[in-house]
Amino acid sequence: MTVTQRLDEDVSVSRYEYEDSVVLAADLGTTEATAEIVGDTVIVVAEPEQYDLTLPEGEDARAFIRNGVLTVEVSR
Amino acid sequence: MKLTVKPLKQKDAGRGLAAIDRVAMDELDLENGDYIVLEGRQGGRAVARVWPGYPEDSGEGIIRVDGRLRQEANVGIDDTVEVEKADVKPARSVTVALPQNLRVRGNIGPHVRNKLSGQAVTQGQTVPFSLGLGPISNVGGQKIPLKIAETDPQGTVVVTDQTEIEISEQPAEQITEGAPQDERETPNVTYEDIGGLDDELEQVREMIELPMRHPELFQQLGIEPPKGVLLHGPPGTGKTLMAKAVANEIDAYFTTISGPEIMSKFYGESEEQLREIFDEAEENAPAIVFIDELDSIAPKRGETSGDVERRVVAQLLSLMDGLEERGDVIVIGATNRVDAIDPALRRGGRFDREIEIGVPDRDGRKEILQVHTRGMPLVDEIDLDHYAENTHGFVGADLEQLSKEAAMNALRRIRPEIDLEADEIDAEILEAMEVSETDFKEALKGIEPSALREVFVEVPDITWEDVGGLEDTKERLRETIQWPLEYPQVFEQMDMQAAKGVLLYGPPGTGKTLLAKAVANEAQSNFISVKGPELLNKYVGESEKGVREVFEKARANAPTVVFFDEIDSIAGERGRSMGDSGVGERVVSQLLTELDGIEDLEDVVVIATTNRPDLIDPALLRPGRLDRHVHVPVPDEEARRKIFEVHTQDKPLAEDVDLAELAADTDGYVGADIEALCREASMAASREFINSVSPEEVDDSVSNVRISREHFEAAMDEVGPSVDEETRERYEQIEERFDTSERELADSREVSRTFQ
Repeated sequence: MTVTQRLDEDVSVSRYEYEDSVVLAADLGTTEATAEIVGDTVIVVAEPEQYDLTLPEGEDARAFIRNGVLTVEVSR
Repeated sequence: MKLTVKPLKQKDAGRGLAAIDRVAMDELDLENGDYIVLEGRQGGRAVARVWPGYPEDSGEGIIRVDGRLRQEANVGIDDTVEVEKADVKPARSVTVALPQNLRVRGNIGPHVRNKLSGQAVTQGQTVPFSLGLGPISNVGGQKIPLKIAETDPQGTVVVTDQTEIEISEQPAEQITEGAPQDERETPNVTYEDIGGLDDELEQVREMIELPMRHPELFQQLGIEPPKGVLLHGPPGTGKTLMAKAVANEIDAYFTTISGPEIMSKFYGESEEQLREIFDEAEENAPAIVFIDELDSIAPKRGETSGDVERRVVAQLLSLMDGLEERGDVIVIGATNRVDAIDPALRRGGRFDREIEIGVPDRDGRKEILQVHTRGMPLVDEIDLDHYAENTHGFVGADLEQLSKEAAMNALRRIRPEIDLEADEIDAEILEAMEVSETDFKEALKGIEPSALREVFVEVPDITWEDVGGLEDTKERLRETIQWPLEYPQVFEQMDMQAAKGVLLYGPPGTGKTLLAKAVANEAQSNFISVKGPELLNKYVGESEKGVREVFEKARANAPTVVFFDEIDSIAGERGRSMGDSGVGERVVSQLLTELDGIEDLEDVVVIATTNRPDLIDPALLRPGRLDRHVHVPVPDEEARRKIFEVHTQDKPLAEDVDLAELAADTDGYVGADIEALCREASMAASREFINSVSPEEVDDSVSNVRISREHFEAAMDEVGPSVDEETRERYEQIEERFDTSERELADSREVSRTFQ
């Protein structure tokens, strides 16, 4: 488990590698945000700011934000 | 569903997160970010957000929460806790109360909302909260306790971006409703506040938590539970912190004894005070008695001068293992001079286990840095891994100092904007503060590891690239010093012992010290530099002690490179001089035993340099001690060209300067000569330039100055070669002699083996 990327000064993205999937998680500290997968990046929009996150390699990616916790899951 | 509680990783702590393993998450039908309720003992209840479980927990039924949630839910580590999905309403408004001593002007509401957003809060709860820079508040963990005074709707609510945050008029101290204040003094440190001591913590918990929570286990086994733990290690490694965390986590009565406090001028009173503390602890059992700096009240009885100390030690002995049952009282002692403690205390039944708290390794340092920067607004370029890598020998206290100093640097930057006269600080300024990369870099310069403070040298900023030529020498050094640290598996596979030491010899100025500096930098180890004469002391035995201490420190801070410059000054051949009462000889003997004695030198490499290898005691040069002899020769033409390259790298050279030609012309010049030559040439160019232009024009035309061929030629007249043919031959002879003697030694060993 390593911090691979950072979204913002306070927000570090944790990476968890499971047997069948890789999960990126971040506590955004805001409840008003959306996440969308475009190609191999995840675009997180938390008004007024926008962050990009590189998607880990794999297939069947999904990204969602619930109560300020961003989750990006990729099967491998 | 019941799950087992485990501690959270340091970096995830403090945000109301609960990492639940994946299998349990599926069973509970939870997604990351969902709210859950943890129900612990005696009505303890906490709300948390789900965080992805750590991969290593999968299928174990583990929930990881930080110390604050554990406290709220009233559970300890390894307890089970009932976990349920929670339905939490978003808050319309939340009123928070700030502590009395915090005075902030302006509306910090949005700032509070940003920090709390997504977290679940309940009325009466105290939420640690970081406001701008940590050090403003002196509360442990650098957090301001923020009290939730009122919520709308009632009950547990979630702070969202729409929530109105109001600041209560009343300070937090005056709001008593909600959770009752804990009156007992238990320190406010959790396991998440300790970084890099996982194994040690596990041992301490096993010794203390288990007997306190489940004494029946020990009864069943028919043994008495442990009575005491002795923590020892260098200062600043976290002994006191660990004791505090344990006391806090198991919610035991905690009392401390500090040595000088219990001493009294009246006969018998010091002992009485000790007895009182133990009595009090017994009444409040389960209890932990923590004795900090144990060596101050329990020194070896034979060595103390005072009568009082002896009686205090005796009292402590009988209190710890006397006729009377002590009950559920566990004693934790901490000291950094474990050998100074009365041996009677160090046996089973008193301090059953001694746990060494060592200097943290890289991963430990990273965890510690994460703990200390948790509440700090860092800019995103800061890579804690990088700082963890670069802080060999730093203990927890040093790392705390580092992050504090970095924050202070940030504070210094914004200080001009702060109106010190005003009662309150503008909320905007607080919000704008952040700690930058330069703040950290500046802070790192000013802090040196405390464990190495006496012998520490700043690791020089010299890489292999800065050493021109000497390819063979560099390669051999790399093999000897870097390989064992970088490829330990190879050495293990080949059943090979890493070399203990390297002797660099060669004429003056050929770059021996420079090589050692490069090694220090490239080897990613601690670097101790010993200047020979510094070790000598006028008292008998003290000089040898100096040598011993150097190696002791090196062992404690391994991997370490110990560097002896000009070793001939302290390791001259024995049996020659009779003038100095044999100090020199004893120092040599000490060196010999340190290098190849009964105590193993693990991950400690000695580098010694000399230009008189013929004067060094031959016993020091045999295999197993300084077993590698590397001749740093006078550079040949190719090497000289490379040295010229290094030294002229940043100099503005005219086009007619041909380094190859210069190298060809400088036979007999060593590295230092070439450096001097380059300096002299630039000096000549500067002289010409400064004399030719008026002082006003200097700024404008300085970029046009070039060092030309003539300057180098002029410099060559000034600087001559420092090595002549004779010296070179002498060193070559020495090299030959070393080679043959090594071979002879090898032969003789063969022989002795056959004779066995």
